[in-house]
Amino acid sequence: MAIDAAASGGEKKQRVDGQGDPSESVGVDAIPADPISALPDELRQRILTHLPLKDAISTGAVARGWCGLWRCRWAHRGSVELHLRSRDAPRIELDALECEPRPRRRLDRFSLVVDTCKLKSSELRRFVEYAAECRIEDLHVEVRKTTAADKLNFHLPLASPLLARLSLRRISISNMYYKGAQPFHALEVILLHSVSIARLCPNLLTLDLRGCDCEHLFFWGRAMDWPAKLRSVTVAECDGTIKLDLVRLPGFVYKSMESSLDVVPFLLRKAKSLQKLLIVSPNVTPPDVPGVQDEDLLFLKEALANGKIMLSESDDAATQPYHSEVFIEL
Amino acid sequence: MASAGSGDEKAAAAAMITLISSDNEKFEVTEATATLSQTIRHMIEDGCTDGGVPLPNVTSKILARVIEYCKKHATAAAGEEGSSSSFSDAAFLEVDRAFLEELEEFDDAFLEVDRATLFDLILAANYLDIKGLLNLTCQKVADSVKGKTPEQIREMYNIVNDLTPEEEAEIRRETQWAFE
Repeated sequence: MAIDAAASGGEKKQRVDGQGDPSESVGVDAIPADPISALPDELRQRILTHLPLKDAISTGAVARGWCGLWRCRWAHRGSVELHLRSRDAPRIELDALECEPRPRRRLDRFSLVVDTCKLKSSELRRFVEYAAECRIEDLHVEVRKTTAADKLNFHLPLASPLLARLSLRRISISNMYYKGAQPFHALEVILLHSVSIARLCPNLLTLDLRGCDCEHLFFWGRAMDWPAKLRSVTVAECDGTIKLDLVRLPGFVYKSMESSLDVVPFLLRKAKSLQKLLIVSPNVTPPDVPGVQDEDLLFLKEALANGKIMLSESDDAATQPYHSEVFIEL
Repeated sequence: MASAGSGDEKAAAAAMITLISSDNEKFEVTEATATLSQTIRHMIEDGCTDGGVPLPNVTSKILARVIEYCKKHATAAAGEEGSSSSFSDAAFLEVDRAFLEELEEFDDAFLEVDRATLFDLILAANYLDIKGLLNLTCQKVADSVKGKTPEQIREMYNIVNDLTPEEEAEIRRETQWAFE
């Protein structure tokens, strides 16, 4: 029977080709005004469910009729915000989430605010796994009680293919990348507030670090490329060592005794799309920069062609031509 | 099991349904084809299809396309049922795969239409409650929007921006990451 079906399907296909005639494709320019906005909300929301969250959100700025439409694109609640306050809250919330039927509903956003010392790392991991199973696109985890933050470790799920935005506040990350983890190809934005991390993701666009303990903050090994699309890096009010360790520019070390801010190489061979690198530190003394090799400066030049690099006011003569806007915000 | 399945199908194939477009054109289709539409399936179940099913929201041009889709996919559904009863047979699996590929090609070719037709198909798929067709057409529109800025979307679909600059700035600020 299946063979018959396939055969008759073949015949039909020819007819389809015949019907997809050019006369139907002409007149694309002669569309009546705005047929898409004329669709009922329900159908436009359905279209939005076929888009990544980022694209769905950006339709909200198209016109008034599109504002906030993305927020209710799923028939169910597309965003879960949990605020764990009591000692029993983690268990109760976890039980409620984990008893939901599989496959899980699709979630746009999952936000977990921990306001109790009683959340265990294993429970946190289960929350994050749940979010990953919901094919989350925007994940926020925040710890309000420092005592809890001290013992809590954030782990990315092994795989979360749609995750586009990760926002963490006051939680430590023991290891961002570990064995068996799938690359986070959709991840474009990481926002960290008072966090320490180890290793990042290939499609990162924005890295914004404020108030972080940067001891071994991040480390790009020799084999690892700088995220090719990274456009903006901001480091503010951070202590410790920041290592962007891809191309070691000899002697190109910025050091401040008081804040112990130590940035190894700023401008990297493969950071061609980097538009902004902003280092903000409350206590930066003028950096001591010995001579830089000419071939290293070629990389600087390449990176600078794309954007604005803000360094210190007193680079040595060799680097000056490449630092048209050089200052550290104090 | 398999023979019972094909017997049912023959019975269904024998029953013809007449669909009547908004411009009064009549289309004779098998029940198997028609019941891809949940709306029509319910009408059949309620026994109110005698004398034809009037579809005042669907023009003959669009209805012809919808029927073309349903015919193809009804055959596909029948094919899947047939092969599932002999899933251990490698030959059937092979046919199955070829069939799915062909179906994909069909869908791609089916979507080669102008925008006005595409939106009419969405409305018809929604009205007739044909899940596969609705997903297919909505995906096509979504693909055209993917990765585009609000400006590009406006231009593409002739959408007039009726937001004030302040409103638009506020929207962009709320979820800034999505606009970078």
